Amino acid sequence: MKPALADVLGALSARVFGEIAPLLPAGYPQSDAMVMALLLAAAAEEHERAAEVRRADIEDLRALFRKVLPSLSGVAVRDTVASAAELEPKSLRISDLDACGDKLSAALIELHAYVEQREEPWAREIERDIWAVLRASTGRRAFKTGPF
Amino acid sequence: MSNLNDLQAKLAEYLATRLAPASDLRVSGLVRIHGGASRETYRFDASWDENGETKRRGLILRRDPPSSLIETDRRLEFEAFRAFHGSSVPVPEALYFELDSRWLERPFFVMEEIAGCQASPLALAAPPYAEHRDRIGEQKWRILGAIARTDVDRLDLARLLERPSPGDCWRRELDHWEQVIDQDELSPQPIVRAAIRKLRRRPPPPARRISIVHGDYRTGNFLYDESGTVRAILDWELCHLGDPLEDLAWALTPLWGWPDPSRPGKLIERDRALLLWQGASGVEIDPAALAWWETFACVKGLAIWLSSAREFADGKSRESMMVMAAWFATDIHNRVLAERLASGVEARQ
Repeated sequence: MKPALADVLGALSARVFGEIAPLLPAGYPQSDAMVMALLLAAAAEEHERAAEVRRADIEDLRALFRKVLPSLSGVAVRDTVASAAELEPKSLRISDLDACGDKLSAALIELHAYVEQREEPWAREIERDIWAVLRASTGRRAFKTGPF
Repeated sequence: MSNLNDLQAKLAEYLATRLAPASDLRVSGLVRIHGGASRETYRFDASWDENGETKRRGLILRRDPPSSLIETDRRLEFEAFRAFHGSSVPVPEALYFELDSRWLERPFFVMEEIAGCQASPLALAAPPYAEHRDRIGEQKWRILGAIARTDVDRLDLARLLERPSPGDCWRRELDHWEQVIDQDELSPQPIVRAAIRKLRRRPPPPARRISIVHGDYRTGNFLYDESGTVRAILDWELCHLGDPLEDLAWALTPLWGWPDPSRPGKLIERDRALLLWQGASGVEIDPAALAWWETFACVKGLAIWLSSAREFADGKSRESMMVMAAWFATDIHNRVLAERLASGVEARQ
């Protein structure tokens, strides 16, 4: 059994913050090391959740697209949404999950801009659904570690 | 110029030319400090002989970095310090401005050091500063009001700046920062794109006054001392002419007081801040206009954070601050913006 990467990064972060940074000259070198320690801690948090967060975003967006397709008959954005609803990441590598998420986000921007221009109640409902997906995404991406 | 010793020696050569006929100029104690992400900032001591007397002064060097979080006109900040020095808006004395790269490889300027102060928002939570938070907060919002109230026609600085019409302030700023996002985003940004569309659909009323806009006025960009006195407003590199509500909204953005939006910048309560600003500026706050500018502030913030992500990803900068902005500030501003815009949609249902 190897130590988990999140544990390793967390421990390195604590050492940089508590042991190494105080040995550096005050001012930029010391505060820069403290920022690095913070980033290592955030990297530990991100490593543990990265695939789950991205997978959840992809599933939410595909579900949204499948739900709204029936409301989009005869409009140009329908093809974009229909294609996006079928997108799958090539693998579970973070870069492949990100590439898939980027394509879905681009389709979402197109859909969002379209429904904002429509006055019908179905368009408001889709808009509300879009914001629910975006809020869920920002919520799951929030860092527990942070400078603020 | 590979190290601080080289930089210190070259700086001494430069200052000797500027302080002539003073003699025996010496530079010592040069150290890099955190001073905003758009310039490398160093503090040092200069001493020299003048009329048989040894003089000494703490100084600050602000040098262009190889790459910057914010692309700015370096002269603007220097001229802003000169414009406000000696006024009710406290700033350091700006001394020398230099474009010639033979001195320090990149353009730079030198200004007075305001010693014995803090800028960090985190320091406000602990002694000896915590007991002065209300006082510091009151000064912060009054000074921002004083900037807004300044007659721009009496400032040489204003001659360097493009003057928008009152009805065009919002468009110029939104166009600029949208262009930054277009150029620098590493991935599609559905939240900020929705915000930009909304801001264009419902623009604010014309500015009630054309003011100097600091451009990055917030806790963290001013110096305060142990007695709770705000000693200097810093980081003017984004200053421009525009709607004073732009500055107010930027200072109010929840990121600076995170996670407590009721105390912007971790100081006094929002309602009191607004009253103080209104009194000092003489500008009556239109709530709808302020709401527009607060949404805009999130867009501008995201543009800056997305730029920092781009700079790091492209290898133009490997500064840790670039990553901090790209990770944490983007995360928080996206959350703030999503909540603001989603609640607006629900209100329309």
